[in-house]
Amino acid sequence: MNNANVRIKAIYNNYEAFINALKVLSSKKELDMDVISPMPLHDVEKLIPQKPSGVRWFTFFGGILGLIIGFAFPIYTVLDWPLITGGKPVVTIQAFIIIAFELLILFGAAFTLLGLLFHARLPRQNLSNYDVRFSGNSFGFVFSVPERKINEMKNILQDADDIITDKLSTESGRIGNESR
Amino acid sequence: MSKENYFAPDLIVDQVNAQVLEPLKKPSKLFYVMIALFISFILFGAYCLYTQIFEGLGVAGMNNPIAWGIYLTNFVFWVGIAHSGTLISAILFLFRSRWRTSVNRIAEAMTVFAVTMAGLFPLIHLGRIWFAYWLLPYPNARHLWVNFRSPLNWDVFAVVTYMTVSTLFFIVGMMPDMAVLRDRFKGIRSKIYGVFAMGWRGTHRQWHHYETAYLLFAALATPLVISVHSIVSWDFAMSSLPGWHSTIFAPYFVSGAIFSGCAMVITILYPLRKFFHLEDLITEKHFTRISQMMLLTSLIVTYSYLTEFFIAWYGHNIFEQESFYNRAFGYYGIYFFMMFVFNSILPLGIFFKKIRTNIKVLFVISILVNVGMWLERFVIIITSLSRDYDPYAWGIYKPTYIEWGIFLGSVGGFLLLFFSFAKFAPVVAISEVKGQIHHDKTGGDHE
Repeated sequence: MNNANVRIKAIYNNYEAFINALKVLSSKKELDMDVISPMPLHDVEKLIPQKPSGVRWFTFFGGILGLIIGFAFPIYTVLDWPLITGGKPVVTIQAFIIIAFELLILFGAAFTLLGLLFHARLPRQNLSNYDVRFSGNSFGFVFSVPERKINEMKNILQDADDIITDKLSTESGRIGNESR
Repeated sequence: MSKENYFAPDLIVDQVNAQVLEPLKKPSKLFYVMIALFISFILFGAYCLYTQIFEGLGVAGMNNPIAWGIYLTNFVFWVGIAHSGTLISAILFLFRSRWRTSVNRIAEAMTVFAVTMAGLFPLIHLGRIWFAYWLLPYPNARHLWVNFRSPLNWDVFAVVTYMTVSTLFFIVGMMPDMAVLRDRFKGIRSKIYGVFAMGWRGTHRQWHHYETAYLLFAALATPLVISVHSIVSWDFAMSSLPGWHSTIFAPYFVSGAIFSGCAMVITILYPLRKFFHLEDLITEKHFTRISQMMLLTSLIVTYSYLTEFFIAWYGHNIFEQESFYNRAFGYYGIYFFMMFVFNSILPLGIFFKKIRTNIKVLFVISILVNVGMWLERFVIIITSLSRDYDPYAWGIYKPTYIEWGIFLGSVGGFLLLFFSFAKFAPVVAISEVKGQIHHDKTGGDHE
């Protein structure tokens, strides 16, 4: 029974206490935790450094795709029925730059949204690893540890305003599954 | 660098939720009166549109030579209004401008609703609204494609892109705040907010990806906003009509758009702030900052007005000279002078501290600037068309009640969308305001 995982939600109203606990927790590399806050926090970024977000690649390739379509599609249409107007060439790249530019932005933005949804693993319905106080003024952690470690963790989290523990049915209690 | 506090000095993070969520509670009677008024505008507009569809485009005042009337004036006007939203939310974000935080959501909402109204007008103008899909390139048996060399087609792409991107930006920007609402309400409302929050939890990884995505959205929206109004201006500048055919049009229209948009932000912010008691979050300083942007763009617009006249005189083109003489002293001259007073002379008052710190005066100026900017588009479109090269084809245009009615309907539609938004969604970016207050208090650096 000792190997069963327990989910711990620790909720802090005091920022200093939260950061002090984070300093200890972030040094434990094996701990897979979610640090939850109502706003983005620079201290968290410093203590838990992350790779640059992969969202930017979505934007980049989306933009490139839009650019290619923005040129290829008008060129295809004018060649589909080549009609010379005003003595100008049929394939008028200058005019198509505008279409290409707009589609670059359109596809870039659409792919940025897809990238965000993909990396942040949204949309999701299950909010069991969450507490409504996190969208108020509270900060906190959600993670799962083997049952035997629970006292050690409670020691670290002693300044928390509230700690909620519940047993997880599966052993692999990975909490957050956002891309890292 | 010293940081200026733009909120009420005693505002703390704990109060932000309550302050922003206050408007979402039961509204006052006045709210319903306003909603009824806006709906009556829309109904009248719908009646006018119905008449136009069944009677034909002849019920509008447009005729040769003035085939572009106030429908397209309204189109340019609404697209222009939309621009300051992106400016405040995207460009000022990239510049790390701290004052944008409590007004960016309102400005973004304004963008989305204004561009929705703008998008209707080219379709209404075309008359046979049921053929609107002809604007889009789609495969068909006759191998007919849209003309990608036409600025009118560029416009279709620009406006559709702008509408989509600004809506995405708006919805993504609201995601963390929708989570706040999801957690504060119960029942069906919580479920609906939950759909928009998409299961947002606010973990450090989500924030990390979210901040990157937001930055990228801002980086994409910034060149977009400049391109869209440039393309709108090319609807005119690409033709060889005196008064339209000018290389100055793109920057002239873009600055005009931001000018009118800033004015509309003030016009909307003033009653909204009073109505929903947002005085702690939206302070006098915000109004001052927006008015300063208005002043800057007003100066650029004034410079463009004068340049147009200078070039007409200096260029020695008699058609151009006649066109501009007619613009100032012809049949529509009074509108030109009204436009000049409202857009160029009145905003100069913002140079004085007494005026730019007085919200009531700014509100009045902003309304007059809105009128002035609408008149600017009217003057550019109608006076140029009324007198082109051939005196035989000169003419006068007077909008009919149908055209005014549809314009009124669009005003009603815009305000209804806006008030409904203010009633059901967070009008202030909660997480951004919290972030700013938090970082100011803990001494971290945050834009």
